[in-house]
Amino acid sequence: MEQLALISYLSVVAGNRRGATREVDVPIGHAVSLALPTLRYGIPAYAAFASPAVREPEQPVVQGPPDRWWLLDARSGAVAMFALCSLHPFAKEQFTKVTLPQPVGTVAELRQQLNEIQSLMDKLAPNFLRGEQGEAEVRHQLHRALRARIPQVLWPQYEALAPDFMAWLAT
Amino acid sequence: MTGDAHSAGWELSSEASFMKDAEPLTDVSRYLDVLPDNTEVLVVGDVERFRDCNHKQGANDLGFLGTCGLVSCEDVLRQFGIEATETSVVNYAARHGLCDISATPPECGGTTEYSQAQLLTELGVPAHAEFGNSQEQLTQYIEEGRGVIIEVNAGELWNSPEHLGFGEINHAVVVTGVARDPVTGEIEGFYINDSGRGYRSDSGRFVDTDVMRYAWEAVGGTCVVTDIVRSTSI
Repeated sequence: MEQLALISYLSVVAGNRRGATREVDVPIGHAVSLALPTLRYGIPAYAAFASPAVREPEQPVVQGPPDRWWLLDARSGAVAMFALCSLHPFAKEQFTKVTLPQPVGTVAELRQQLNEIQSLMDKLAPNFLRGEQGEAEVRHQLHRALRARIPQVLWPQYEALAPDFMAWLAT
Repeated sequence: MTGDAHSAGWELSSEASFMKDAEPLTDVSRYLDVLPDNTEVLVVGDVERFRDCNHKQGANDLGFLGTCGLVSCEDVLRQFGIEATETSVVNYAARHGLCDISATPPECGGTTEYSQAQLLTELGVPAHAEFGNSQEQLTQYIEEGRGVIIEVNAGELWNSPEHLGFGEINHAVVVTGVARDPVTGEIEGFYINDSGRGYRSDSGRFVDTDVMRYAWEAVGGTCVVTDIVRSTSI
């Protein structure tokens, strides 16, 4: 059987905020989530959300609840959907404003951590989107990396965004 | 450390061969300067004059704090001799749907590269958004006398882990000058006006090419560039 052709995670990251067709309208200054693969809408896709954020010097970032989200078709990178959460939320839960904790590590270390996550996602996302199990150890590695990088206060938002992927990752 | 070439007694070195073939540009300052690490550079751009175009964002009557893009637009408008304040720009943008007004006031004021370009154009300085640019292209725009806003990651720009997010574009600043090696012409870095932190040193701040690579090029090389060049002093 011909394998489903998917775009790479790195190309998703590159086009995430702007979107292939300029349909993703995200104000500069909003916090943009990591993109997560999901099949919950019937197509192989990457989902992401953005939240307003207040950044003051030498103060922790205060991030509002997600106010917009979108799906990129994982076969083409095209924007499959873009919605304001006020009109079409991705979760039943009402999220609230949170103060983000101070990240652990230097900018260079955090950059490297993000590169590792993107590399693992590049390897694993196709397995998930094709309905395959993938290597258990790599799944667990990515799960640990995401747990280390995504602030605990935001974890429920990611679980709501892609519950199928998050459950698959934890098995 | 900085100053007019005449007052400092500096002249361009005759060895600056890369300059000999360059077309002369009018009204874009050029002067020799010394970086904090004592590297001598040729600065192109009105860095000193445009320091006063910058201020800490959030100085508007609507209480919007996410106004880095709008303050950058204000900066560019003033560079072109157009009277503007953050309040006037924010109010215009809010009325015309050119900034985000959907959240609480401190969270409002965010723009996109498209709305920044549209705002500049409507307020008198035609501009457009570009993506995937390089530092060489940025240098060309500065040396041509164009106004340039770049979209950056604040964590990389400020070496601040808490403002890194997931490496996305989350801030906008204005580029006011470029520093080159006076002999080889190699780009040493850029000068920016940054409204984000309220530090005096963020007006005309020197940013080296490594920081520019991570803060700007690696996150998309996105900028808003004026279609016209400055031809008269403000």
